[in-house]
Amino acid sequence: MATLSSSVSVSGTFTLTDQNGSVVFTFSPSFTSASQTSGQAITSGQVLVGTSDDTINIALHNKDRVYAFVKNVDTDYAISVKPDGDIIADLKPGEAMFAPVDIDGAGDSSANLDLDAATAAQKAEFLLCDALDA
Amino acid sequence: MAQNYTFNGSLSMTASSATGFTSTASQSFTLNITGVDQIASGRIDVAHDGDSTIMAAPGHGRAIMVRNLDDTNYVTIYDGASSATDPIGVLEPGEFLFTIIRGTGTTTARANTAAVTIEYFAVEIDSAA
Repeated sequence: MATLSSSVSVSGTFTLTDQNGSVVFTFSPSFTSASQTSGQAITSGQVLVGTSDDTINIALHNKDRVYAFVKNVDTDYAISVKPDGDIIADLKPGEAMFAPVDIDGAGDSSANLDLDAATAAQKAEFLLCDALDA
Repeated sequence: MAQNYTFNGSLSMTASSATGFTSTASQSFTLNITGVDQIASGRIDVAHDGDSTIMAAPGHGRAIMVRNLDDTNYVTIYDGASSATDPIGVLEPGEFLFTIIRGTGTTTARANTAAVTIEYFAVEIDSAA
């Protein structure tokens, strides 16, 4: 039986500077997941997010834990990221989020990772890769 | 007295498979934050038998990074109390999350099985940020 052997590498750099130019903090976290064969899918794409919940490409993925990167690539309004109906990010144009997400965290077997634009349709991009269950 | 800040972030994720397929997403962004009071950063131990607060309820929203420094145990990050079961992310050892939530919930963490140490920052953002 064939398997999909997948892994992710994630990194970030975050700096907060005060009004006097002094750096309050800098963090540069990163990790590379172990290669695993339980996953079913790596998916990515761009969607035009409407003002009611639009489900992105989650059907093939592990609902218990999926590495999710979402960014707002439009210019006007914020979008919300909503696994299981609960908001885990509100991204204005140009902003991005990353998290290993438990899609059905409330135990209601929801299979939806939804995006929702606040005011009018906005373009968003996503990259999803299955993670091992915690 | 409330202060003004500039937050610069960059984030990148690459997913790959053994066949040689790769897909990368990345983004850099800036938030200009005006007149907020609440900034928290550092390391804390997160219990498994109760919620640990990462940031108390902000006035408008927050930018959050949490990294699990434990060797074996996972930790779940919540918007609100863990009893409300609104997880933002589930972090295995070494993993981190970053998000921006424009909402007034408390950010909490709860470890599985035994206490873990996390590294984190949480920056309150104003309505214009």
